[in-house]
Amino acid sequence: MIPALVIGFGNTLRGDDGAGILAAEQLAARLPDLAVDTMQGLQPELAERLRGFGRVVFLDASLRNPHLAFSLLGGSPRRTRPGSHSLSPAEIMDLCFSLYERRPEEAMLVEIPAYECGIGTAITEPTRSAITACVEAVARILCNDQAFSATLPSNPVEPAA
Amino acid sequence: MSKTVTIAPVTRIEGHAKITIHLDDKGTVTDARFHVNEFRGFEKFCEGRLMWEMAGITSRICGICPTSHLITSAKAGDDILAVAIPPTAEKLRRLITLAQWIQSHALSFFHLSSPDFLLGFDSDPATRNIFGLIAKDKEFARRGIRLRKFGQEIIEVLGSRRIHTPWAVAGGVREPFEVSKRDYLLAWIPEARETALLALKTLKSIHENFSTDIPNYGNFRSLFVGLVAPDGALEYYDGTIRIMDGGGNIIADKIDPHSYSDQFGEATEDWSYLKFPYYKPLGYPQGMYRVGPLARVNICDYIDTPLAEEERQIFKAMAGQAEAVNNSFYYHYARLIELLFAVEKAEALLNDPEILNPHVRSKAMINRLMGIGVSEAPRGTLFHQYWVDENGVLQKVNLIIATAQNNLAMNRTVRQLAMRYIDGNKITDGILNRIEAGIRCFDPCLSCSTHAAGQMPLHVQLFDADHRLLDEIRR
Repeated sequence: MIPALVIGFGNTLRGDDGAGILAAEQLAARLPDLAVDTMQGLQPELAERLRGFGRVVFLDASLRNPHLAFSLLGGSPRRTRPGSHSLSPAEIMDLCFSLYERRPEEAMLVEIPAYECGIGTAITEPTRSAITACVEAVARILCNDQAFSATLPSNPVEPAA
Repeated sequence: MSKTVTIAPVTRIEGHAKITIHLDDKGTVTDARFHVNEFRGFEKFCEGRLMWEMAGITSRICGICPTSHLITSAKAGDDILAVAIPPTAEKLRRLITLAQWIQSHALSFFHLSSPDFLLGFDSDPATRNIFGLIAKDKEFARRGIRLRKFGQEIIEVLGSRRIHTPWAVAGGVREPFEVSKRDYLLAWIPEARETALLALKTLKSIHENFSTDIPNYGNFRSLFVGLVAPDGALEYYDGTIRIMDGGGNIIADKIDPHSYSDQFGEATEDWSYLKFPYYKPLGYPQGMYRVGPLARVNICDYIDTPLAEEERQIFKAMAGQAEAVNNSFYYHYARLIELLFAVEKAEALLNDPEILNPHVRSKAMINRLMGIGVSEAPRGTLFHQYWVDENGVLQKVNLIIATAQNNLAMNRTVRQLAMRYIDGNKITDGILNRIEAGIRCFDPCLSCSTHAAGQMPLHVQLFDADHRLLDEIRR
């Protein structure tokens, strides 16, 4: 398997918002040699860690996509507008390139549909199913060592920052 | 016809918030409010959990300052157990608290505020961010990120994880420190100190460029509240509460944090979910106070590290006869003084041989049914108070966070900036930027909010007195 970094992020005290972290933890259990980080938000120093990997997968909860959504993070540097203490996956990739003139050759964002993000640790059933599907799909993609673009479901769309 | 301008949410702060500006018939600002739209219900969520879980749970509330919640929660647990933790455990907790200051203060200055300072409030919003900063001075941006990483490295080395570490527990910490980890962290110190000094030099160098703006950045007298050490030194982990007025007079001192509820009340307003803490003897809202770097550097008698103390004396000289620096813009200066202090103090702790002592935890059963923990989070004084039954099951929880304690002052700052810059119906990017920058002086954090994708557009709305939408801007 080509060395890859999986980053699951979200808030596990906010219901479905923690879906990315839960999916990352399941991937870590399934693929012990896989580098997996979990965090509440993407912070600038992550850019330095990213440059050491050839491929990276971001796992996040999403209120805007009713289905599991896979998208490639662009082939050229993006110009985005960081808006808070945390950055988006596209922004962190851009930051990596801007600072170090290199970044992972392949990057993918997987958005896991979220429905309830109130205070609590309960995960809704649709999100739980989507987490399982996410883990299956990402494990398959990483294990087959093919380019992300060749293994993704059809028509990946670059998400907004 | 009077109008309301709405800025929602505020960029480059954490969480969900908006600003509304109320105009009269002539377009003159009559009021301005900083609204927090996200309900914080973590206290209720914690009821029924075991006291032992709280350090781990509360550190998951916030992705920005989890370590502050972790330490304060562990201290509340110490109080319930009625134990004195081992001296080495206190030193390790102090070290990780300093690490939280380093990473948070570095992020605030280099990532969030430097674009305003180095590129200017009126520069193109599309490039007035970390990427614009990189384009202007890549090495400066890179060093800032490395300094933040140093703070994160301390947290990771001590706690084995960067965030949400369950490392601190009631009675001490879980694991002793190791020589190899100590040496690894010590190797970072020269670079960290150099970068902290670079940040201070940079802030001073741009100061003159903002001489017309600075007098409007939350420049008013208020109380200042924070912890000080028994000898009056800058404190970050323990100590007693000191209250100073805007004239630099200490009006209350050596207050036991256990009596915080006698000193501070929490008012509510129907337009914000964030409470409005105030100093009870002066009532609401006259009891407005500020916490965090500006307060801490104002109220302490000295700083016990040489380079930071040198800067504190320069800072205090700016106060003139008032003997307290009242302008919120100087939160930035105070934050960088604390950043330098944190690096110096971390070095001193790492060089203390006792930090390697393996005895790091005291064990006991539930000995009190109520406990209070207090520490200085990057943004200000943080209180955790827990009530438990004899089995340690939580009956009630009260958390008072720093951002809430600055709520009255942030509102006053927004109003002052709006009155200075808004004239008529025209809202320019430059005006929006200055108002947002005024809020960012406090570096507020509302990160208990969800962050799920699709939640954070910048949205500005202009309404008339009948709440009809007159204008709308999306960034």
